[in-house]
Amino acid sequence: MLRLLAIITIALTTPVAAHTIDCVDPNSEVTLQIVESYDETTGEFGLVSAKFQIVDDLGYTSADDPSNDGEITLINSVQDWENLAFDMHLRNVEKGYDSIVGSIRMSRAQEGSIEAIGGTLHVSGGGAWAVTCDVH
Amino acid sequence: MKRLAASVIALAGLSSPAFATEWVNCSDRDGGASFDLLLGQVDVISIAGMTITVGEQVWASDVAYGPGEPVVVGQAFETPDMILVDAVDPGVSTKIAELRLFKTNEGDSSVYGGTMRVPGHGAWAVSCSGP
Repeated sequence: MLRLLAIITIALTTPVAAHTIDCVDPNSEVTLQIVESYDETTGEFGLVSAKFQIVDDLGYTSADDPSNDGEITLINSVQDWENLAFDMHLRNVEKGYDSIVGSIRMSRAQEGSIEAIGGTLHVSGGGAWAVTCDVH
Repeated sequence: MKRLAASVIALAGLSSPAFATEWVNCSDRDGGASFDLLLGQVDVISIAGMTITVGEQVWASDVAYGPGEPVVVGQAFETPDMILVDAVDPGVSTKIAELRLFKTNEGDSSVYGGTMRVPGHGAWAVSCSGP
């Protein structure tokens, strides 16, 4: 069984505070790591990097992996105190357009000093997983 | 008299239509907190039953679903991507718990994952099993 490694990295412009979100599904088929920034001045979140690893052969490559062909980008549509939502875009050079090949949808809940993040990871043609996360 | 009884039975059937239900069971990774929903298989979200646990603390919408403090659905909403539920006390004066789920499909399988928050107790990431 081949192991898929997909890493998407977006340059961080002004890191104010960053924390890491490590997610796994109950069967440990996938792991997902998101590093996000939070600007206390503006109250805005930012995506520093994200990577997911799936025990399967899906043929995806990563942005900074040696075998990467630079096809996948991660576009975040929502990133706030309640939700994190990203779409995975796959560049189709021959057809000249991007197609959405997956999604990450996370809910964020806070109670006192506790921050909980969990949600779903979907890869078209690959699978769908519910994941729970640890926040560091 | 028999005609009256038959009419009453027929009306009772109309007022409480039978519909299929299935549980969606959500829990955190360690099993210390859970939020279970008995969902009706209809076009809009229909919560027929609900249980919530945090450690030894239990809330249940009906004694049929287990012993616990009473709880009712305060509000619930479903989209193709999300399920949002707020559970409250029967007097609708106190929020007991929030459930925020994303759902996605691949092939025939659906998965649900998100968070639950119980004010005064904590917040947890949850993954779910169910329909």
